[in-house]
Amino acid sequence: MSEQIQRSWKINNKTREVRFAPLARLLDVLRDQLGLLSLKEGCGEGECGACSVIIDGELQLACLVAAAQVDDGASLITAEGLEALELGRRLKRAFDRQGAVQCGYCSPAMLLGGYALLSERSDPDEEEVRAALAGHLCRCTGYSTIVAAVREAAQSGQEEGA
Amino acid sequence: MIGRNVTRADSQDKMAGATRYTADIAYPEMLHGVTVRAPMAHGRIRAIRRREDAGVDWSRIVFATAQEIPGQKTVQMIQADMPFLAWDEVLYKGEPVAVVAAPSPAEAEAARQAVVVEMDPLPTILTLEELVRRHEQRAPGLEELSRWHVGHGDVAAALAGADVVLEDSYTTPHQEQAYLETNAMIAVPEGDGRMRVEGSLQCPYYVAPAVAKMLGTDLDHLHVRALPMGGAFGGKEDFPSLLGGHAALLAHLSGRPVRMVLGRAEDVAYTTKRHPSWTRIRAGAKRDGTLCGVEIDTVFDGGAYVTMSPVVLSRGAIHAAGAYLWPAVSIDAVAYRSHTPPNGAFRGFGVPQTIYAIECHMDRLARACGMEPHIFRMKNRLKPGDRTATSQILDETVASREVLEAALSMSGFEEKRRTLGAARAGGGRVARGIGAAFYWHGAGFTGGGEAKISARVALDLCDDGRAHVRVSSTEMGQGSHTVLPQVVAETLGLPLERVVVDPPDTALVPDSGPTVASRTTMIVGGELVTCAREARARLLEVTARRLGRDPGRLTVEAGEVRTTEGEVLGELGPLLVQALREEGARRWTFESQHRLAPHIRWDEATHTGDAYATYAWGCTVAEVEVDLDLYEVRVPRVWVAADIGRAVNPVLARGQVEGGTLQALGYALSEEVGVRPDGGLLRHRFQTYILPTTLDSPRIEVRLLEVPYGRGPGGAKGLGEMPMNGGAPAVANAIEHALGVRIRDLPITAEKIFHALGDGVGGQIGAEKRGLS
Repeated sequence: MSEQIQRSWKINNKTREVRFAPLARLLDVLRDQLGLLSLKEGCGEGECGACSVIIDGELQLACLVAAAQVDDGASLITAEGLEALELGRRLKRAFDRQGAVQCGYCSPAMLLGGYALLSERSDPDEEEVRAALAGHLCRCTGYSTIVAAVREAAQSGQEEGA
Repeated sequence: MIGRNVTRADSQDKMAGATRYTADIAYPEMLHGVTVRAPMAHGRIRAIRRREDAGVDWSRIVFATAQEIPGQKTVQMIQADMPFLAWDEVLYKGEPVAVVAAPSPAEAEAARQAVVVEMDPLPTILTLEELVRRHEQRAPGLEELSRWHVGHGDVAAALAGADVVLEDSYTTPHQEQAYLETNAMIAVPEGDGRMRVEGSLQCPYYVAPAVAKMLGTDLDHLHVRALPMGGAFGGKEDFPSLLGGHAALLAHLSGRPVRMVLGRAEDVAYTTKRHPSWTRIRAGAKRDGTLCGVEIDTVFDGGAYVTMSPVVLSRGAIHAAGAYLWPAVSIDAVAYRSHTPPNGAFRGFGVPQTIYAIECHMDRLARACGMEPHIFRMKNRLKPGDRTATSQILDETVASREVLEAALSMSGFEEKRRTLGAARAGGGRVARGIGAAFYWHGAGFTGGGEAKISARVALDLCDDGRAHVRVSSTEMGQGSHTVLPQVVAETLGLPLERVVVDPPDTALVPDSGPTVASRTTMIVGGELVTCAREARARLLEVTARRLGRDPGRLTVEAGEVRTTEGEVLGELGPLLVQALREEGARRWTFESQHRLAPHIRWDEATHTGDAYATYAWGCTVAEVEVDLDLYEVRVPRVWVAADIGRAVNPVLARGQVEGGTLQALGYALSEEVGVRPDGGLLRHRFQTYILPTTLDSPRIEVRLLEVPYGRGPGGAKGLGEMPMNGGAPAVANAIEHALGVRIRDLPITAEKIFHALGDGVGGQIGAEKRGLS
């Protein structure tokens, strides 16, 4: 047995202790050990984006990251944590209103993609939204409603902020 | 409620990651199952051996071949020709020959690797090209899986009388459904010889009899439940019967729950795809653009087993002459066996293939007559009272004029035909063009199919004060579990939050038929309207009796029972609870069963008569930009006008149109699997099978038109599949407008454009490029 690795992460603002094998994928640790089932394995090779997670403010693909690469004390956001965040709630409202959710398999990650973008830029134009979400495949919607939802969330934030 | 954009019933859970899809579900003692696959495309199995030297502790592994199957060894579908596990002849590379289960996925994978399948090879036919070559040369070795003829009139005479006759052929490739959630099934022993099979599946009443027959049991002991699905698009219509059978066999042998989740590469490589097709069209017209006749010969690559091919081919053939009036028409359609995975259902179900061919051809026939393509289409479109290829006389629900006018006007088509195009390209580095495709789509099952299914639905009014919809229609993302409650709430008068959908489980719901063929809102929704009407009448009658009122003077408004004078007698929900309590009942159940409209006539053998109760109509316009250095095609804008009878939920309906349109653009430009010489599929990963992303997707402008169909709820027709029909031919026609060359074979890649221009068949731009090089 190889030695287990131990980490303490702040996930959705809660401290979680976890032990895992040295080569464990972050996706498996988050899903199987921590029960964060919003992360989906759509392809397992970094093409579909359905396993996205925000690590210390940066959008990452959990299927391509070894859990050991995530530092002790790192701060993670998954879709389970969006309801507790003002921007998360705004995005979910806009997704629902625009009809941006169909089968829902890409939705948690897509919301995180929007969250990461709007955390950096408060009012992106359509091209910026499309570029930011280019790593997320959706087979249901044709993307228009998703792009519109991210822009609506941005604009509703501007109005609330004004 | 009908016509309102209520938000989805499932969106909050989905966004929070709280929805449990099949791969998210685990049970105590659960085993993980995997499939052992045949190493060659065609051959006979000599032996299936478990290696003892591979470090696998076989005492921990459940292992099964066809020998362990207690009942029927083939999957019950249209024909029962496909084995759950091949035991003798193998017909495609990767065909299941054994299944294994282990306590962990890693152990299961190690065991799979330690199974050796020894085979003697047999000759193969692997590609559409080879099927077509033999078909045209009448060469031996072809096995017909299905054949249909559709038509009427003397086509030879009609073509002899034409001023212009144009003949050419077109091909379309495999297309992978590429739902984001791969195929996944779980089988759970429930004790007393009962078993539950659940998972990502469109049709509980397809899986249940197939698996029950395999286990040698009945539907009292085997029930099937559809879990929330991460997309399906037809790809979970027939395959879940196979995978569900595997899980059930392993659960039966081990007595433990068994979960099987396909990885992406396995899912793309070994599950059903859209049938590759070849279509040759010979069509004639008078010089004034009047159509004379058309002769169509189409070949579908069925893959290794019959599965859905007869019905896919039938629908493709019926739509093959397009939405046009032909005085004489002859359509011959055949599906042959190839040694590749069985092809199956995918949104559109044979129609995107044949519509692609005819809509390319109509553009060219228009030009041969010296007409603009949209004028030509408008002139020859089917109208109410016209006769179709199957000799159906169309009724007043035809919306051909409406969709053509809407799509042409919203896209500024006429203006762009003049200002864009090869002739106007000048010396720029980008060529622009615009193209249209016009199409229809029969709603519901073909011909007598709906009569055979005789969909049953149930609606319970329960003592929780809610109406429970009990149907076998599943939610795969299309929104059925939001739209069906809207239909019920509208009719019953209950607030929407008091209408819920019970899980589609064969132990709980009647057989409403499969969730396919754009039939759920129209057929199942239509029957629910009948139930809801009865439920409303019963509730009013009981309330009237209890309060000593005249039932004829009671009505429901805004969730309240009122007298016709406007006196409020109470809210519907509490009145229901009270009424049930007084009767000592838990629920009232209302049932309805679908019957074909009495005037419908259909002859299956000759494919003549009323192929569909009604049709949805559509027109797609695409604008393209072709980079003249890289030959890359961009589609900046698409316009779609769709007549769907009535949009029960316009936001969801638009979502169907937009999503189907983008799938069609992938079909047009980037999606191609390809078959290797050993029979394996070439591009079976998302790194190589290229799906459109946000950066490849156009702005899609949708106009929903509503020419109502009397038997659909609120007038609704089928919707889900139709948007898949128009995107590819619209793009192909736009590319020809931009470049002056016709690419006949999908997908339209840069390589094909390069060769088309370089071979000298190009127009002005081709000549310019040759001058440059």
